[in-house]
Amino acid sequence: MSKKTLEIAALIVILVIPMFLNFYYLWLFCLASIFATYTLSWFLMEKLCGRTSFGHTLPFGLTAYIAAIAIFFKYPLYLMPLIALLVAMVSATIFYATSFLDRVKFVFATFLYSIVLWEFAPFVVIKGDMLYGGEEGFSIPMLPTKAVYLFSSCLLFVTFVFLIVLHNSKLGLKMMAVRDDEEAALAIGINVKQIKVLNCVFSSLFASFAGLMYTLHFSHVDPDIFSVENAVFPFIASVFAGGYLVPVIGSYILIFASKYLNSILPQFHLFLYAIILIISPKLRRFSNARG
Amino acid sequence: MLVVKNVSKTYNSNVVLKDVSLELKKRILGIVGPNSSGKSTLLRIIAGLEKPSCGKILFRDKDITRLNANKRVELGIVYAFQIPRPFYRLTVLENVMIGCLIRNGENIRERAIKICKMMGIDHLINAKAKVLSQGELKLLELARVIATEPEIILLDEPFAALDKKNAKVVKEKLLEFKRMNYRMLITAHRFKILRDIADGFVEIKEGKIRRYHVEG
Ligand SMILES: Nc1ncnc2c1ncn2[C@@H]1O[C@H](COP(=O)(O)OP(=O)(O)OP(=O)(O)O)[C@@H](O)[C@H]1O
Ligand SMILES: [Mg+2]
Repeated sequence: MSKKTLEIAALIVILVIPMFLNFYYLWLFCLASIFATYTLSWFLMEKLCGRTSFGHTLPFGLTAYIAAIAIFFKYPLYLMPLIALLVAMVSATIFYATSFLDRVKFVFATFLYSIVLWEFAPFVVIKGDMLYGGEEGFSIPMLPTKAVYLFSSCLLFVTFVFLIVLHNSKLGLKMMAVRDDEEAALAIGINVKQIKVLNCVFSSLFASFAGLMYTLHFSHVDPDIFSVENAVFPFIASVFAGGYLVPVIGSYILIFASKYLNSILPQFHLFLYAIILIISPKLRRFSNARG
Repeated sequence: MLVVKNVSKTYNSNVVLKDVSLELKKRILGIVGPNSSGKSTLLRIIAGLEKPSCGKILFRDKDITRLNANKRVELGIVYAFQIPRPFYRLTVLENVMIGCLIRNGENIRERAIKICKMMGIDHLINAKAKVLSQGELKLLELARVIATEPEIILLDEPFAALDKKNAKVVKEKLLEFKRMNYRMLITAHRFKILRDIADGFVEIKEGKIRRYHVEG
């Protein structure tokens, strides 16, 4: 069996496990699968195009917010993918425009996007026909967790397979060339702009759909979806990155660990995030050397 | 075939190329000049990696001055960097495959392997480019440009930073390119090293073409 097949098989096992667990764990696994998709969408940009974004809360959170508002005002559910699609296109445009900055500036610029959204989200307080969001956010009717998990696990599976196929395709090779040296890629005949556009579109699309799942899962959104903690989550979860399964497992572990630490002390999980961030340069160097 | 017409280039107020005109008529033209004379700038302008401040580049009587670098590669003009710029995190084979991609054909892998064999780097195909020595990187750089199936290769100081032995290897490869009928523009600091390769020379000094020897 090839490594690819093994990885896909392992993912299927991870996705099937919660079917045999109680409601609480199903709920937790569902959350983890959503964040794993979110991490992979981020990883698609980082691993294939070499851009580290701290602003993936833009497609993720904005889709979650707008979808929640639409559901609140009783727009039919089948319109939600359209919202995800639209937000993804807007995000992709913004990411692409930002990618003309150098790599370090890109990190800070995208970070700024998430901060700005975090600052502005509390102002979402619609009065006509009411929807009092503000700091507390707002709730929408609940969907059965099993149904949400079915969608979120399918989304994770599709994202994962897409990434593996992309990685081994000609397009993936071109993306990695652009990642390593944009000018050299151009000089060898690669349409760098087109490759960057495609990368931003793919990455934003998966992040947006993960955001939609987030809304369906919690049936509640609040400004904290744009928090720094969510902005750096994919970075932390993929710190051991080798292949594509590691960031998935990283996301699961991070979600489980956060829940556990939170139960000991509120916000205690941020301590773990901080520690991983501090040692991340070492860990990344190690995993890069291995990969 | 390839005509450079009255090209000038200024960075801020620093004039790097002054009204440069030359034509690639025969197969291989050597461009010789000291450090900072504008050799790299000239080749990069022909490759489309740099925009000229004024002047034109013509290829087969068509004005390509505004064409993007990647489009010029499709036309058959490709540039090899003075300091090799491999895709560091990819393997040697993947580096060469990326060069092959532009021609859209099938069997990209096989074609890339063939080119690696020709360049004598086939024992390295699975090595990451970042572990290669300078000499090996030069050969990889050459392999990658050949992979694009070019008509004109712009070689920026192919002998820079090489010892005698490696310079000899590169020279043999360039002679092989010559036998394969590639057209080339090659820069160097001295005539001597290009003597057996080039059909003609121009000398460039402080951004100006000083002398045409045998026309290339
Ligand atoms: N992007 C740039 N911005 C400002 N000045 C530049 C730029 N690129 C080149 N120059 C200047 O143009 C001049 C010519 O540079 P170029 O690299 O073309 O010389 P060269 O003949 O290739 O030299 P060498 O033999 O050392 O490679 C140099 O003085 C250099 O500083
Ligand atoms: Mg030079």
